[in-house]
This record gives sequence, C-alpha cells and structure tokens, in this order.
Amino acid sequence: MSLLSTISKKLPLLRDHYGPITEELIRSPGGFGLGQIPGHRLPDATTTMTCGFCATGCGLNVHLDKNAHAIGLTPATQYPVNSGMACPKGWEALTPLSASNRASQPLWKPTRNAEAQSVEWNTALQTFCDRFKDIQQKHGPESIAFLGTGQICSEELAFLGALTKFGMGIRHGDGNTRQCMATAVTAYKESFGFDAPPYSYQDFEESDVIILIGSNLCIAHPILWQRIVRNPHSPEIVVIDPRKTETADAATQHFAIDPKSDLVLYYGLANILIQNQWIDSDFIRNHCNDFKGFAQHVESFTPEITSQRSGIAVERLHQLAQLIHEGKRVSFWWTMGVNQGYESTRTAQAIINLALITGNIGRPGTGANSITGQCNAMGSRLFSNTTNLLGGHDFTNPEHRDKIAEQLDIPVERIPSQNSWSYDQIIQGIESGKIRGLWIIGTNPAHSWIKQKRLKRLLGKLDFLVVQDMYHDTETARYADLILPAAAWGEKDGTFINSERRISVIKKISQAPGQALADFHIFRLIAEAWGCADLFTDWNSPENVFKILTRLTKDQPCDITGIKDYRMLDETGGIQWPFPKGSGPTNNQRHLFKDGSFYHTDKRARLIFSDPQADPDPSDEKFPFRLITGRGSSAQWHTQTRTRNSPALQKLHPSELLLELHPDDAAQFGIHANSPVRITSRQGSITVITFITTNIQPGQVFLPMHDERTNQLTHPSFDPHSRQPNYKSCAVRIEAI
Amino acid sequence: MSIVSRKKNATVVTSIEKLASGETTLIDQLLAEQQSLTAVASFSQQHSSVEKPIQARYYRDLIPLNDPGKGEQYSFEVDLDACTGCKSCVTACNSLNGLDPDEAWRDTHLLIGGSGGNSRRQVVTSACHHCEDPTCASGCPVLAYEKNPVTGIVRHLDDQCIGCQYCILTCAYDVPKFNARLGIVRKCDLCQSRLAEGEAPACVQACPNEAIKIRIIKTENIPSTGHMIPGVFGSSHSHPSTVYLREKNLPADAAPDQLYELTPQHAHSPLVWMLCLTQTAVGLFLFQFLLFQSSAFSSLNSLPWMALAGLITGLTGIVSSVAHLGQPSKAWRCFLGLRHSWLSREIIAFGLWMPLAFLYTASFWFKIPTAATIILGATTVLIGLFSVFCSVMVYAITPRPFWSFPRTALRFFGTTFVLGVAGTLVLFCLSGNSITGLAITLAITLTAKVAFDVSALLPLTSNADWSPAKHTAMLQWRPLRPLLIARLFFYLISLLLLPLAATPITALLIFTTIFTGELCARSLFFRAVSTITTQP
Repeated sequence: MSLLSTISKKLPLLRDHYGPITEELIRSPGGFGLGQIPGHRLPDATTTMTCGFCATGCGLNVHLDKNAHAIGLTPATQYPVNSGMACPKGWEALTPLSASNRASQPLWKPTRNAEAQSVEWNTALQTFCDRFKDIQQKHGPESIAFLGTGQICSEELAFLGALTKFGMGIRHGDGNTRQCMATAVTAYKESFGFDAPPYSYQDFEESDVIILIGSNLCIAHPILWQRIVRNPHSPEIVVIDPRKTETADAATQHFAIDPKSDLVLYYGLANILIQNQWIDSDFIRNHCNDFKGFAQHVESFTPEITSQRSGIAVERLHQLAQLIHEGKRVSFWWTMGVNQGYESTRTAQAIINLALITGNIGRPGTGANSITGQCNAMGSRLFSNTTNLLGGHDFTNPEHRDKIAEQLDIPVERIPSQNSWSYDQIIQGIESGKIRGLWIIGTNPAHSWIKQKRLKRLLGKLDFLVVQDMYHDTETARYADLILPAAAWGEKDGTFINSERRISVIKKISQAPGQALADFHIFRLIAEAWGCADLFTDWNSPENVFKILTRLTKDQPCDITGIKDYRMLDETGGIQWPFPKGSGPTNNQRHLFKDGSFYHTDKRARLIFSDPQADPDPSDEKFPFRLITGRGSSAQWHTQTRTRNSPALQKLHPSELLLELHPDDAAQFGIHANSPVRITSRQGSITVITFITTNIQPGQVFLPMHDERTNQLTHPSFDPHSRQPNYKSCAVRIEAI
Repeated sequence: MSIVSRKKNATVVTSIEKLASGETTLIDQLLAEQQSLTAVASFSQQHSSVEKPIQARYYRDLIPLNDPGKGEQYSFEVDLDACTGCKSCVTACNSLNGLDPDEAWRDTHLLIGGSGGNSRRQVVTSACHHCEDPTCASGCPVLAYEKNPVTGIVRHLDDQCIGCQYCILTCAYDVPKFNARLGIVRKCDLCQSRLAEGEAPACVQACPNEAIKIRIIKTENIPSTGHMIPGVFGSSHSHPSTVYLREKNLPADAAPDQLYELTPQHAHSPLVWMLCLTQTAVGLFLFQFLLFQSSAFSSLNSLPWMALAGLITGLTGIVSSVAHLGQPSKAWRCFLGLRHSWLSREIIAFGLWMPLAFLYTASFWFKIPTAATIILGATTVLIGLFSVFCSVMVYAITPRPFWSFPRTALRFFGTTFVLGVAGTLVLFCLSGNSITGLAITLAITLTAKVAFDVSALLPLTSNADWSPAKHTAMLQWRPLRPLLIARLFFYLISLLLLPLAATPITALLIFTTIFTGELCARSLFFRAVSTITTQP
C-alpha cells in the first residue's frame, strides 16, 4: 500500500466520502410499494392517473407531498395498459407544467400588432363575448367557429361542444383530431356501423401474426411495442412502411412499399387470398355484405399490377398473403401512415376488409385496429359534439336530437340539425370571408396545419382570434387577439379514453400558475358571460358532467351507463366501453364483435371499396422526390409545445431538423452528409440539414413533423370521406446550398 | 373595453356584472377551486403500507441474486436486439436518481450502416462501464474516484471533486458529466444503494423491453482488447465491463452517426490561456537563461526584464487555470493523485516552478553570487520544461488521436520555442543587436509549426468513410473555419512584419501576433478534437 493511500485513509480530512453535495443524491425507501427514490422527494401519498401525451393511455403513479402536490412520478406497476413502464414523455410528464412560458394571466392585444397586455378574467370574458357577439351580429351566428383538441378531458370537450353549438349558436367546430384519426372514424363508421376500434392491447400479446401498417410503434407508442415483446407466441411481425423505421428494424419482416401505394397493395393481397380460397367463407356469408362486389373489384389488382405499383416483388406478395392465411390469430394495426393520406378512408377499409374476409376479427389476437394518436382523441370521437352529436349520435337524425335534448333538458331547437364544417372547410371559410372569428383551444395549427403559410396568412385575416392554451407563446398564440390561460393535464380532473376504449381518470395533482383555469372552468365562465348558463345548470363539476355523458350513451354501442363515478374508474384501472348498466365485474382486456354482430341495423359488416385515385401532388421533373413526414423520436410530442420545455427530453433528439436522404440520391445531387440543403415543394421552401441513410429509399426523403418548418412544405389535399389532410406524401426537390 | 361596445352588448354587461357582484364572484370561486388539490381526498390510497417495491415482479430476473464473489464484479448487460431506441432508460435514470433537469448519466448513441434491405440502425444505450482499469480514477488529481473492491462499482466522490473535469477527458466513453450548478462532475454509480437492497437500477427498472440487465462478471473475463460492439467502443483503454449482446448482425460498415454531428467541443478558454501563457513563460526563461549563459549576450541590460516578463506571463497563466476549476477552494488536495495523475504532476510541477522562477528573476535585482543565479536559472528552466512535458502528458494519455504524444509535444514545445525566440527578438531590438538570424529561425519554425497544424486537414481528402482524424478535419473545415482562418491570418501577419522588425514596437507586435496565433491554435486543439465515444 503506497504511502499516499495510507495517509489518505488515516486522514479522513483528505477524502470527503460524504458531504452536502453527496447528500443531494441519497436515495431512500419511498414506501407505497415504490422502492428507493430520491431522498429529497419522499412522498406522503401516491395516486394513479393516466398520462396526458398519447392515446396509449399509460397509468402514471404520481408521488404527492403532504399538500397533495406532485413531487415525482413512476409508471404505475399494476395498470392494465403499461405494466410498470413509460416512454420518456411519461417519465417527464410533470416537467412541462412548471415551464416559465406558462400562460398565467389572460392576455389581450388592443390592436393586432400591439404588445399583449395582462387583463383580469372579467375583462377577458367581456372582450370575448363583446367581440364574438359583435361579429355574429354583423355576419351571422355561423361566422364564428372553433378548433378544439384531443388533449383535454371528455367532460371539457363535451362542455366546449355543447356551449358553442347549443349555447352560442356556433355551427362550425372541429378538432385537431381531424389531423390524426378522422380517417379511422369514417372507416369504422361505414364498415362496422359505429366508430368502434375493436381491440384491446391484450391482442398484441395473443396474435401469432402482427401486421403494422404505417405505424412506427417503437417510437410513436413504445409501450405498445412492449406488449408485443411480451407476446409468448413468437409472433411474425410484419411492418409495411416506405421507410425502414425503428419498428421495421425490430420486426421480423419489412415491406418497403412505394409511398401511397397501400390501397393497391391491400386490394392485391385480397385478390390473392380470394383466388386461393384463403378466406373464411362462413364468416363472410354470415357477417359481411357486398363480398361479391368486392371480389370482383379486386380481380383487376393482379399480383403483377400490385407489384408494379407497390414496388413489392410478386413472390413477396404471395408470401405475405400466405402468412395472413396461415396465421391463426392475425391482427392488423395502422396509424398515421394510413390515416394521413388522400385516399386514406378506403385504405383503412381495405385493411378492415382483409381482416373481415379472413375471419380475423372478434377473436383474441385479431382485428383491424387503428392506433390513435392523442391522449383523448377517443374521447373527442364520442363527446366533442363536432362530427358527432354527443355520445356518438347524429346531428341529422331527429330522434337523436330529441334524445339528447331530453337528456340534457334543453330545447331541441338548440341542437343544430346539420353537420358542421370540417377543419379544412373552416380554414377555407376564413379565406372566403364566411368565418370571421375563431376560437382555438389546446392546439397549434400555425405549426401543425398543412400548407402552413396559407394558414398563418388566414389567421391574420380574422376579425378576432382567441387562443386558449397552457402556454402563451405557441406558434398560434402569437397571432391571437386574446389568450386565455388554461390549466394543464395534472392541474384538473376529468377522464380520457385511450385507443383500446379504456375510460380512465386524470387528477388535479399540481396547482395551475397564476390565474390559469381548467378549460372546464373557462367554459363555465364563458357560458355565464355569454348569458347561456341556464342551459348548463348541472354542468358544475367534471364528475357531474361525466355522469351526464354516461347517461347520453344509453343504448349506444359505446354505452357506459354501468360506470358509477370517477372512484369506480380509479379502482378498476379504467373501464373499456361498452359497459352498460348491469355489467358485472369484468375482464379488463376486452375486444369487440365476439359474436360477429356489427353495429349496422342488419348486424353485418360492409366491405367498402373504390378505385384508387391519382396522387394529387404528383412528382415530375421539377419535383422529383417524395417527401414523407412522421414522428421523429419518442421524446417529442407533436408541435413540441410541452416536450420542448423538458431539458431531459430535449437531449434525446437531434437539435437540427434532419432530412433523411438516400446515399445514391446524395451522390447524384452532390449533397454531403450533415450539410444544409434547400428542400422545395409546390407550397414552400425551407433549409434543412442532411442525414444520409439507407433507411429511406432512393427517390424519397423524410422529415420529422415536430419542427415548425415541415408543414410549410406539405400539400393541402384531403381524403374526400374523412377530410383528413394528406401529410404523408408530397412532391419536392432538393438542392445543395 | 370601450363604452360604445358596452352599450351595444347590454346583455353581456348584465351577466358580467352579475358575475362581479356579491361577496365572491364565480371567477373568484373557480380560481380558488383551481388551487385546491383534491386527489388524495377524492380517491382511495393504494399500497399505503407496502414497503417492498411492487415493481420487483418485472425486474427480479434482471438482477443477480447475490453479491459478486472474489474475482467478480457487477456489469451492465445490454441486449441490442431488444433495444428499440425509446430512450426511457435515460429519463428514468434522471427521474429516479433526482438528477438536475438537464443532467443525463445514460447516453444513447446511434450506429447506422448497410444498404437496401440490409440497412440497419442500432441505438446503443450506455452509462458508466465500471471499467476494470478506470482511467477516470487514475487521472483524477484528488482521488475523487474509488472502485469498490467487492462490487467493482466505480464511485465518484462528489464532495471530493474539484471540478477540474479532467476525468471527462481521460474517459473514453464520455461518462462523467459536468454539473455547472455544483461545479463538479457526477456519474452513474450503478444505483449501488438499490442493488444493495435487491432493487434494480433505474435504467433496468424502466426498460419496456427488458434490454438492460445487471450481471456478475468474472474480472478475468473483462476484455482488455477488441471492442464491446464490433468496430466501435474499443475495450483496450480502460477495460470496460459492459457486455453488449446481439444476434442480429450489424452491417459491416456500421458507424456512429456522431460523425455527422459537427458540434465543436468545449472551448476550455481558461486552459487555452493557461497553456499558451505558461509555455510562453517557459520559452522566455529558456532563451533568457541561454543568453545569460552565452558570453556574447550575458551583459545585455534588458535580460532581467526578459525574466520579469516571463515571470508575469507564467503567473498569469497559472492564475487563469484556476478559473477552470468548479471547486477551486478544494484544489489544495491536488497532490493526492501524484502517484498516477499527470494533472496532479502538472499542478505540482508548475507549483515548484513558480517560486523558482520568482527567485531567479529576483536574483538579477539583488546581488547574490552568480553561481547561485546560475543554479536557480538552470533549475527554473529544467522544471519549466518538465512542467510543459507534464502538460503534454495530461492530454497525450487521453484516448484521442488528435492529442497523441508526438502531436501534443510538437504543439506545446513548439509554442515554447517559437515564443521564446520571439521574446528574444524583442530583447535584441531593444538592445540594438542584429536580428537577421533570429528572424530567419523564427520564420522557419513558425512556418513548420503552422504547416503541422494545417496537416490535420489532410484527412478531408481521404475517401475513408469516417475516422476520428477525419472528424477533426471536418470540424475545423466547417464549424471552426473562422478560427482556422484567424490562426492563418495571425501567422501571415507576423510573417509579413518580420522583415520590418527593427524597432522594439514592431518586434513586440510580432510577438503579440504570434501569441494570438498560438491562442487560436490551442483553441482549435480543444474545440476540434474528436470525442466520438464509440470510436474504435
């Protein structure tokens, strides 16, 4: 032993093993079944609530101090969705709440270019009512519209939809859910008779063939990938995606199809299945309509034509069809790669058709399953009162209007008998001068809407723009005349519905900054200020509204009249719809259509199809590349208003906007790795940094959607049935700078 | 609100006023309700009396049942095939360990390669590898690291650390992370307190795909050659214990995407000044002493002033190095690492040099025996040169090809020589001696030195896909180009000025431009070094 180490051992003064800095990181048993946690954050209680980012709907176990205030969190261990795990966003869910750019006071701009000034709530409410009523007086009640979100609670969505449509005489309102799952809604409604994603996450663990279409599960829904990892049947995992995504890397098979060739591909696959009699004739005979027409329709999609159009070799088409045929429990899962296209509804239905004709529905481990994006997109589908009348009802159906009017105890004339404009039509309405005032709640179209420059111009054209958000500086809030400060997830009570139809609670575990109020409270104040509060006398707490909503679902496919209250949801780990009155204690992982009966009046599913259409933004000599957009990393959420406020998440993705480009293309155009290039579409032009990779095919490039610039390029085309924007493919050219 | 609009919307006014009347308005009521936290009161408490971690059911098989035995230690085992790059391990480590918001002890790297259907990206998650021969510990001047003899965990003593950040340079894997708030580095301790209680480390608990495990490894089985992953993460530097498993083959050309991340490294400005100033000082004393010893120049009037200039320069350099420390008040312990830390040796060497240089300089003013002055001078020069050698070694032993011994020695002793000559030039101009020989020597050595520096750009012309040398070249050519141009600019200016150097002012100007050029070069030395942690 050397002299020095002897001395250092003898003289403790020379080596500080413990001290104030070391103590900062001492871990201590946290109690509450937590194990060790940071010693300065030991909880006095814990409570479980659903994460507020994506529609996976993970349970988060929030650690509370003696004032019931959140001081930390861990993924809930015994929650039926995530079994003890969370993605990086879930781990960081509390951080964005304490950001310095939180809106904490109503802000008002006397003129468009003036500096925003803080105002009291009563001034803000009065300005809101004065300006919107003024516009309505001049241009008619329909000249005001709203754009909502899939990020707030069902009770709040219902309040917004009811307040605007029943109370304020607004007809046109839509949500950002139009951008993510409108296609799935339309496809399911037409095929099944109701917007009913039929699966439970348990199906991931029970399939022997899992087909992921336009879905980068590993990055977009990491916890759902976890469910696949826990599948004990060594399933064949097929990824159909133009890019070799993280999920394609992890899968057992990857079909790198040409962008937007999926409709042809699924018709071609259906044709092979039918030609080989690899179909479930009994199921088709007993439970499906229009099979003959469908079989006839797909006949022309021969393997050769399908191969030519999709870029997949004929023998691989056969292999895939055979895999579907031989699988005992085949499940099909799709996400935005399907939903965000110009013929997306038919594509989704082509997937549904594959499940139907092979009898892969209603059994464990099967289904044609749309994985949703936002934490409460599914709540908005049922309760936002935009596309559907509350509770999955139909505005144009007089019986439905009567039922809702009676249940809510409001005059039936208050309920519009016509459908509302969709998001893109509302934007078009601003252009044509029909929409003069707009109220945007919890969404950021100046970043996320397609062909962004036009949208920004149109926001400037409005007579009055109100933005209600938890941050005062979103790209959209910068255009607002009035900013209403909203409490965030974690600062209010309510319920979410996740992708597998699980209704669960979120709780108030943190104080909102300053004067920020829950959206629910804001709607209540506006009802009061507008003078229509008498319609909403019972709407005085989220839980009361939840009880009203459960009553509205009576006799609907989404009947949840059996759910008593929030406490029941909390204690059961969430409850999947349907849950009608009288449902007993039940399996917590339920899928639909066990008996093969669907929601159309004849109980049969419909095989819906039509001819593929030409790409609305074709490539040519000037714009030779296809631009694909998508999720960049698991640490980024949509327009990043929240995730950019977490330094821990910021570290997990590239700081630059990186354009994925194939090395052959780079060589051909003399473009270097990590160099700035100009990318130009027919809509706009931006500068990005190159990332040379063979994960993208030649002739294609990829940009993540989280950067504000990406949507300057995207093409304003829409699926005609769902009105969902076509984010996933547009024509571009690349130039070295 | 204007009066006009109030009148126009009478109904609104009524409802708002109704709101505002009474003791508490609805607004007040809702604002109060907003601030009351009710989750505990409204819902039943689960697990209130459960002491054992219920998460254990998921990680029981991911950690060893026993402590390591003799000749064994803990190690991370990462299943690369199972990792899909969700990066939950990074945030869980931050959250469960109570780190600062922007602090991360776990990193994720991306390897990409292959083509067509064989292309593959592989996210590699890594934390401290708890090396068998931890170079963080051997480099630390204050013994702020210790390797636990039983568990093999390399622990950092946070209260011992002086924040010199040298371990960041000696670690081949960029593991220690500087925390500016605390002025120290911190790093992964394998959640030793958790393992001690049979709980899994944070990252192990949090991986949805069970890709990270803790295993007990025989220390003799820890590789001291080869790579943790073929082609990347070399093992020879410090014998890291982490084991990466994979069945799916990585493409042969898989390389870290960091190559494309052309972000210059930390500037380390105090160190740039410290190195240039101390090397200049040693150079000035070297030439001063040589002149003093030569019969032709020993009587020059300004010789003592040259020593004084060297003393002031050296002192400034040493003081500026303190600015680099996060915890300067603890720096007195820097002798503790003398046995194995070149940084310790550098500090001690300059600490000895300083008083010697002071006494030697003072000896010109106080009449002491010439022999004593000579002995002082010789010792000052020798200890000074040894100090510069220590400076060289501080960087040469780090796993960075750009800082290899010959390259760093050429740079540091080059600076010592060139600025020593430039100082002599000033002296000669002051005393009216001929400077032709000096000027030619200076022009040649300076040119050679600059040519050597510029040769680091040569890999730009190579077709090799990537290498640390090419990365360094790319960093200099792209983001650091202004600094590179500045370095060449000051070189050219000093070269142009040389023929004019007859007056002390011009000579001083030449000295300053050369010194500024060296500052730029030293800045490039730090900023353009490739720290690709996954390098071979």
